[in-house]
Amino acid sequence: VSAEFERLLPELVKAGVDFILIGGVAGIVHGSARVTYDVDLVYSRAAENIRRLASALGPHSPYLRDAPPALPFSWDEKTIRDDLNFTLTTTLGDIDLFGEISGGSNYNDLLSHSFEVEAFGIHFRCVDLPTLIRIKEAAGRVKDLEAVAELRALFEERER
Amino acid sequence: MKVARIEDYMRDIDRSLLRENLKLTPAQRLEKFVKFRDFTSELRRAGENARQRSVPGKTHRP
Repeated sequence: VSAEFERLLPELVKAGVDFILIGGVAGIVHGSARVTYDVDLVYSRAAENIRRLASALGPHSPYLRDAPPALPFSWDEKTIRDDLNFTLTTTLGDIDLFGEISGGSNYNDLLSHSFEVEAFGIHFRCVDLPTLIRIKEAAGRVKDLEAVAELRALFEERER
Repeated sequence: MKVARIEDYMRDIDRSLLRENLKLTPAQRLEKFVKFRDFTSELRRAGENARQRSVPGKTHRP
């Protein structure tokens, strides 16, 4: 399901969820011309934030992506507390939530490498371009080679 | 067999697309993508309908 991030991000912001946009949509913020179908977010593991995250996504039928139907999955504070990263499908599209990313960085680590974006009538934080490149490189996936190449080219173009 | 490196991929990047995007604000880039995504969704739906119409006995979705 293609993510409706223009609806998803405002839902999270209105609920007061602390998150930083990473991944392909962050690439678009920086000028990437690549198509992406999910939203990748690093969220704060603070107890209050976990509560807000559970509450904000709850009405949108979050379920584990690619999991067999009717698994005993419940999207609540305990589920989020007991695990770290989630690849979810929701009625607002697919969303990947990371408590920690490759290399061990979390929300607090990334905060100083992020900036505020205003779009869709809201403000939210997005990871900066050098850090986005570093994250993609750290993931070390073959499928990311093209994405890293484009982000590096973007960085060069921006610095010209 | 030669192993592809990031530098190899960089040679094939269409920088004209990137330069156009860099003229926009972050919000405008996101809005541009939403329009493009909606456009591709419509094409995908039209393609599904066309395939269903080509199969006897199947009805197409509005």
